[in-house]
Amino acid sequence: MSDSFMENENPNSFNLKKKNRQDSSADKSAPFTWQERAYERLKVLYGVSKLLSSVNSVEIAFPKILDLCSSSFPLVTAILIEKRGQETKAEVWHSENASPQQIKKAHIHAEKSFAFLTGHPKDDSLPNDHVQELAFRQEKFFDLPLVVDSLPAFGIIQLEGHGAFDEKDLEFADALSRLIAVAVDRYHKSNSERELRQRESAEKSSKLLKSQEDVADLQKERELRESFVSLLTHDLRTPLSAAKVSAQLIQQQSDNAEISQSLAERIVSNVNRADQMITDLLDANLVRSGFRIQLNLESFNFTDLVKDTLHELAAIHGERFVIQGSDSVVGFWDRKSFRRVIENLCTNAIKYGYPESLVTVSVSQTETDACLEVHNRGEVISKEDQCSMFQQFRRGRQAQSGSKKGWGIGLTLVRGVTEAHGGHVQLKSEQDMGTVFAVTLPLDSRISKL
Amino acid sequence: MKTILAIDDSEDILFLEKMVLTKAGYAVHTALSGTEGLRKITELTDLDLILLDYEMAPMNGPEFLKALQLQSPKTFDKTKIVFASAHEKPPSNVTQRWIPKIRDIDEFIKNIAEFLKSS
Repeated sequence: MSDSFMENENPNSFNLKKKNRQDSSADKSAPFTWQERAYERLKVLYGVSKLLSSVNSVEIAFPKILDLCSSSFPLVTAILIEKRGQETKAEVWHSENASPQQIKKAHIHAEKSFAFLTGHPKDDSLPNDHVQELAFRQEKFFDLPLVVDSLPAFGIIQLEGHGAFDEKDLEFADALSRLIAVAVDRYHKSNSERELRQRESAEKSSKLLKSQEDVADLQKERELRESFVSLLTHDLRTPLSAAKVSAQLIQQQSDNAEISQSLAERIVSNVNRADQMITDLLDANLVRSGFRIQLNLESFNFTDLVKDTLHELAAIHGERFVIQGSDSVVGFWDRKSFRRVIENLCTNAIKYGYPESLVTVSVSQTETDACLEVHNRGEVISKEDQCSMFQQFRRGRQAQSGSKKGWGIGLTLVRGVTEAHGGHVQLKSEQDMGTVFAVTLPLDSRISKL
Repeated sequence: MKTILAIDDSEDILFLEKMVLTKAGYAVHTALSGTEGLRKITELTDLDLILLDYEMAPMNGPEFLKALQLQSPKTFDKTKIVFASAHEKPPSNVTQRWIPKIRDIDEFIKNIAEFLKSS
């Protein structure tokens, strides 16, 4: 602003409203004196400054700024081009009288100017001499670089007047562009801070959610563990109590050799039972920790083992087992471990199958594998339960809600033994076909053990 | 002589309970399941106590009790029934009618005698 303007106007008695009223009463057709024009423009800059501070986006402010300017700084078009990261955005303002051709031409010009100012003058359609002058005063277009501290790239504001711009116009446009640049800088910083806060808040929420999920998981794990320990102590106590009472009875009637013999046998079988429970538990823990169960591989006929085991199980559960398939499936496996697999799968089939229904056990082989399938008819196992069933302590919801006892380690053992042999277990449970546990393992597990 | 029907799904436990209680002077009958217990009850006229395993499969202790009430309401009313389990504490629904499952001869005989004396 010129000194003469400051001298003519007293800044302390600035009253825009008053001045406005005076202006509105004046003859609108009378040309502005340079002082009046300067004052009008100062008013505009003040209004622009207020406007920019009342919004949080230059896109919203831009058309309003141009509307404010139009009375003292008549323009045909005004275009703001901003570079944000990889994107370039253009805001176009035009006067009511601007023709579509004028707007299109201005837009093209602005884009070329922007490309030139950002160092990408790839468009050969722009003559060299024209390009060189782009940053300066033109006949009609005036391009101002928008330099923003906080942004790596910048934008431009292109103004198109009705005629050539004079020095005062350029000073005003320059002041306008600086105000906009400062605002863009502020918006950017404020947006960055907001984004940072939002990101921090989102991270906090996500951490909190994660912690809550972790706590819920731990709680669930704890409940499973507690119910498991309760069941374990209960189940271990039964054979230990039986062994102890048998021993007490031997003490009390040592004269009856036959009864003493029978009681001693009960002690051995009950202590073995307790021992097997502990072995199962340790093996299940091994599987859960990602280790392989130790195997003692030997050659035997798998079908014979299935027959033997089913014969023993029939003594407990009755004649409910049907065996089918190949009579001879010979390979290298751990006999004791697979007896446990067959026992677990068949006991489960009895436990969770319909009462009195038959359990079908199939043994077959391919060129490379042996396959054991245990099929029962009963309640369908949900897909969700099918996924978690082989994890330790996990028992299906049906199993948990029913009166059936179980430690929830049987299927962990089945999986562990099978995988230690280099095989895998599959479970299918559907309404029509019932439930099938299918164990596939290599005919010679010595190879997978290496 | 007091008559006891012991019901448990463990053959070992039944064998030992019968042996211990017989030695202590009781007349003991046994059943390996709730279903078998319900059948035996129809054959037994003077039953003083039913010693019932709480956790049996497929019919557990409380389920047996309901079935007995339906099948033989008279026996249900006049016979003392005590649950036994291997837990440390009685299940919450049977606090007054519970003893620990046999784990020591003297303790077990004492528990049975006290329960029979109680009103």
